[in-house]
Amino acid sequence: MKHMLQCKRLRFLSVFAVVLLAAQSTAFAQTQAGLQIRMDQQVVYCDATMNKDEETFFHLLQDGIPVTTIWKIKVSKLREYWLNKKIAEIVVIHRVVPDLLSRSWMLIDETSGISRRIYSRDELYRFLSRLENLSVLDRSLLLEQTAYQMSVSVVIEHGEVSDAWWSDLWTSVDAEFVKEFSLP
Amino acid sequence: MNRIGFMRLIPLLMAVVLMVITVLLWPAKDADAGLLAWINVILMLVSSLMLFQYGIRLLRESNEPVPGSRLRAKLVIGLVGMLLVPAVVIQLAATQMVERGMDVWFDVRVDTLLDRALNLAQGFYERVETDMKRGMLGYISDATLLAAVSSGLNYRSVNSHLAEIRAIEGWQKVELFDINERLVGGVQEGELSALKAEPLSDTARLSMRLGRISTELVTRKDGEVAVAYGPLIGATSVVGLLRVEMNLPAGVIQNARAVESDYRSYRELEHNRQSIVATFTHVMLFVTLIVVLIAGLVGLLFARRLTAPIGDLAQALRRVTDGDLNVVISESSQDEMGSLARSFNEMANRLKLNVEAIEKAQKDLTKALENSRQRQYVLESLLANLHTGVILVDAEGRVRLLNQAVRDILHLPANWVPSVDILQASQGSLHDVGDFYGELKHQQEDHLQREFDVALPHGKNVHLLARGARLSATASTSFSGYLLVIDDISDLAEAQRNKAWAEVARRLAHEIKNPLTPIKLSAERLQRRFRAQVDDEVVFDVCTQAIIGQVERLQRLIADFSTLARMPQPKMRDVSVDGLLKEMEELFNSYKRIDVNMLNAGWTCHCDPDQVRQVLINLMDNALAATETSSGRSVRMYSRVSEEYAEWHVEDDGEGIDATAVSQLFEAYYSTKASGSGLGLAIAKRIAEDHGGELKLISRTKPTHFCLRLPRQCQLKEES
Repeated sequence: MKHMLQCKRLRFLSVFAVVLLAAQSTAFAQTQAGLQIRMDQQVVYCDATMNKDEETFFHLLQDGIPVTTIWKIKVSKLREYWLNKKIAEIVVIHRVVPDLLSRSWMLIDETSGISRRIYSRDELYRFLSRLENLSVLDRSLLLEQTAYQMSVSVVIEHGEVSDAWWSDLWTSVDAEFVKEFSLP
Repeated sequence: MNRIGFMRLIPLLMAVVLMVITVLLWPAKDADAGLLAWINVILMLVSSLMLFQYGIRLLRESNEPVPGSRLRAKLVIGLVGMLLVPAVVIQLAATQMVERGMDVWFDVRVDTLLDRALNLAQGFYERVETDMKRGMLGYISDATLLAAVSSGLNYRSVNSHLAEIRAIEGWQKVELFDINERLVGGVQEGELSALKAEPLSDTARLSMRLGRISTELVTRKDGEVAVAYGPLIGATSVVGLLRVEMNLPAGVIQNARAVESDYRSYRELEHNRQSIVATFTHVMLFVTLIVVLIAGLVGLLFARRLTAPIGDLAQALRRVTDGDLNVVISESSQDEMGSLARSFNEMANRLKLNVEAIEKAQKDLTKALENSRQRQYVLESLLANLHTGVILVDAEGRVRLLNQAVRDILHLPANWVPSVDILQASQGSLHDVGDFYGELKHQQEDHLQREFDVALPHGKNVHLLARGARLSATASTSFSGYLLVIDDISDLAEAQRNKAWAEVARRLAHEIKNPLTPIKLSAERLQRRFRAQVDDEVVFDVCTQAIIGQVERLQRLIADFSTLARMPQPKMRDVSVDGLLKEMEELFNSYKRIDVNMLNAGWTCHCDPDQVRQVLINLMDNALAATETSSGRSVRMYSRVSEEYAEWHVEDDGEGIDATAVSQLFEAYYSTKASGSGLGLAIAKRIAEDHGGELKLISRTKPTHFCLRLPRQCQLKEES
């Protein structure tokens, strides 16, 4: 009887999981990918562009609200019958803090710690919506004749970014790009 | 739909309602409430699925549910419902309050006020920049400065000029760079902060490249500094750069930054207005759901604790209903349920004792009934095998019992049923019995005995001895009526009559026999001695011969009487059936009208040949006497033999026997002949009966047919 009860509970949980996964699937909507992968003799680079309207950022920035784009770049080795093997993963955080008094914006690269003040909207938009010539990983980590996949997910945060560990548990990805590549 | 059916649908309806609410509250992709919204959705989904599962289980339950489960479900639903209604009301009220609060917090006046405050702060910065730019305009073509960066004045002269400029404009720091961004000279208020000048910023380089005065705000440890860059324009191009700094007043800056911070916080809150409302709503919903779930669990535990004894009681009642009386339920609690459990246990115990008593009584009754049936069977067997007729009549005169002997004695029809009124049934052979019953019923005494003759069909009469008794109701039986016992004493009466006659014959023979011999001897002596002396010899002879003849007749009569009175014991041996016939043929050889037919099969019969011979002689004498005037073979004698019986038949074609004489034909001293003693057939019948056989009149006329039937292996009839 107890075994039967457990089976019923398992069945109930499986139904519940299916319902939840179906619901979750609607929460993720892929946008058009804007990912380019380049490589030279030693390094693999990537260029990524997020198709977001300028107003997405500026209507927040003009009210003095900081905007942050968190770029998560992951390189995986493709496997046919198993989960892909992760080769490298880097996170790039671009943060813009507006200065309402001086009407300028402070661009902060949280990864490198470099910051600079700008007065141009174009530069600001480019800083937030693009990754240009980003060194992702050393080419020596990759094998020839092997398929790899690079995925870039972008999360747009506004206001203060929480450093708490649980803040990463439930984040909605605003843009995601996936592209397969292999060594030439 | 009945009420029970609707109650079964309540969990399903609740599940559907909860599912609809879940769909309505489903978070959008960019939901503001985030994790909490999904937690609420999960909680509601779990709750609705559990309700759905419970509802389906209720619908699929065809048999009686587990005792107490329905009550437990009702209690839980009631408790959750009681909590859910106020919780929903509070939720709606709180949401409305938050909506109203949002309208108040984000009022347009606050918005305008913050905009103006920010404008004031921005205006201060703009004014500082404007002032610095205006002051810088006077020095972009300053000859001294141009000379300093192009031809190279000495350091002292340059610094002196820069000190003048700083003093005039009120700047805190003035530095001069040539086109190669090399510091040419610099002064500052107070002591030098560093020996080496800071490198030029991008803004400074841009200003130098574009030839345009520009400013920027730099935040340092000791406060914010407004920095202005003025390109020194020579004859054809920019030849150097003047960089000046002015420390902003700390108090003003602090207030301006506070205004900026508040403005930013306000705008952030305003941007998150919907998110705040959604978060509040979801927090409230989460709390409500948690409270409802906890209340449900607590209610379930409470209901389970409350309904467990009821379930035990219902289960015990079901077992009692099924006949299991060895039921004891727990009496641990001291409340009303404990009292109920004690009462139930006591009731079950009493019920068990009563059932045991009933079973014992039933067993006793069964045993008594069995005994009664056995007694009834013995009584019925006794009555069936009894030769005495027994009739039981109830108080209303209905025959309640009548045994086979009554039917046999009275020759009742086979279809006659005893459950009728005996007075109504007292027709025919029962008429005299009915009269006897009537006399018994109307007399004062409880007992009555009568002897009477009953005429049966076919002219037969039986002599009955009837005894009756009145039965009164007693403590052990409520039956009252009459018991009639009748006996066919025809044979007994005849035997008594025969015995009486035998006694008479014995005494008469004794009294008569003694003088007969002297009389006969005297008559013979008279005949011998005085025949010659008498005148008329003929008369004398006739008279003496008559005396002698009558004396001899009397002697034979006395001999018959003696025979009847004391019949000798038969001397049994195997005798040839045809041998007896042959003896009769030889004995009656002189009579030509006798026809003896023998089988010559060698059959024998175990009997006394003398006595059988006597019977046959008697039958032949009677036949010959009846056919004295007949001619031809008017007397026929033959035998029939089977495995069991031997029969001797004597037929004659005489006048036959009157119908009235048939019934008395075998009685002693009854004779149709003038000279007969009436003992011949009586003796013959007695001989037949002594051999275990019978002497029957087959037909009384044309032919007159007698049959002596004896068993071939007869047993001597015991002397009664």
